[in-house]
Amino acid sequence: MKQEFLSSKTLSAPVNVTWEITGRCNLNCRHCLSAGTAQAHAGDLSLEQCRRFIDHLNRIRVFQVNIGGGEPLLREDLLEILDYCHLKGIVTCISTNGVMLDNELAKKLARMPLTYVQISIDGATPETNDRIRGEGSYARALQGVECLTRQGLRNLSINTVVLRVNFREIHELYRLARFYGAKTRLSRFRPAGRAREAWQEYHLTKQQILELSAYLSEYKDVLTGDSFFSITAEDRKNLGLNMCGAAKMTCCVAPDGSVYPCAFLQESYFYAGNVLEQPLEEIWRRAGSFNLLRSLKKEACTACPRFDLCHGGCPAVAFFLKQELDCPDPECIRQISEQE
Amino acid sequence: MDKIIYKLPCGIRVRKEAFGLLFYNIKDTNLTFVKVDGDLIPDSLWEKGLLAPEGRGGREGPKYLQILKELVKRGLLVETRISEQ
Repeated sequence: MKQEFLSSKTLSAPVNVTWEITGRCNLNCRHCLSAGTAQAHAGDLSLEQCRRFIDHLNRIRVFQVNIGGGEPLLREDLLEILDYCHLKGIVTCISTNGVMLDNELAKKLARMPLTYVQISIDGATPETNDRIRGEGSYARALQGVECLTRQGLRNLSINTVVLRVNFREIHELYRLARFYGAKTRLSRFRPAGRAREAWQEYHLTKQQILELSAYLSEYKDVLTGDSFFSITAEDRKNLGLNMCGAAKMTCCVAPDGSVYPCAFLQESYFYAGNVLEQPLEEIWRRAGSFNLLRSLKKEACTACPRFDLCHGGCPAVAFFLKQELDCPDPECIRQISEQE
Repeated sequence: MDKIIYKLPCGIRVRKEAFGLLFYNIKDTNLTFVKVDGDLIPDSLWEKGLLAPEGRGGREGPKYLQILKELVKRGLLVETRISEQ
């Protein structure tokens, strides 16, 4: 039912905002979507600017802020930013590589009932993960998971970007997450930022895409965010959004306050404004790139029997691979099934 | 004498949209879209998280009460009795 509302009307404000709170990072992951963008080096908002922005998010009734980066734990004032969001009743979800988590920090996070934490691990073995995320990152991330579990953080998930090179370890990662009482969240690999350089090596084969679709049908407790609507089967239809939420439900704020439709579309073509110069509410309503995405019609998809399941898939993947926004998702499962 | 008021349940947030009401559950981050005439709902629901059933009278009264009962049935509002003293 939500698609009906999102297709026909623009929400008054985003439901959730992806906020890349810093461009700094202590890892150098090969598939990073943020590295290599101009905003990654433009400097971060000050704490006072963050507070003013949160006040505005509260005023326009944004429910949730997904805090990422860069590595958000590198900001010394992160806990103050989280506290301020929670004071305003805004739920926070922190996406971290986990390597800076210790017992003391884990204890503070576990005491924040409005905080969800996602730790990125991209392989069930140190060999696989570290080849992607850097030497020693698997052990340190797992240590972070253990700290959070020990301190009783309830809303914990392990996030994995599904790649050709870790595909065979997905189920082992699912078991690992269950062992720690965490949820599994699988994210789609998209050719944005530094990931463009790794696309040929890492993107899933057609056979893997078909297998992943079947896996997601079998394990419905695996979270996917808005990642895999181009491949999910009918039986996952009500488990999440079945269309791209960029500029309809969500948007992305870069470290310097620049606004884009989503984290994967941080390109000058999609620049929508800056929260230091213009209220987000106004950017949300007026930005040309947002209205472009809202009015996007994937004509080639409308007659497809899967249209209600994906609405043409991810515009970002289409943009980067086909230099078009209105073409079908290049990883559309129907097209793949017909070719196989 | 007791008075009935309607409150948002713990962990439920709401805002008004062109189509009606958009609810958010902080416990699972799920959204619920409710198609109603949002203008019938007093601002006190999103400003204070509660409202009184006598907020609307006249011809709109029954429709307003029906919306409140429906939201209670769906777990998006709770009906509470408070003492007027």
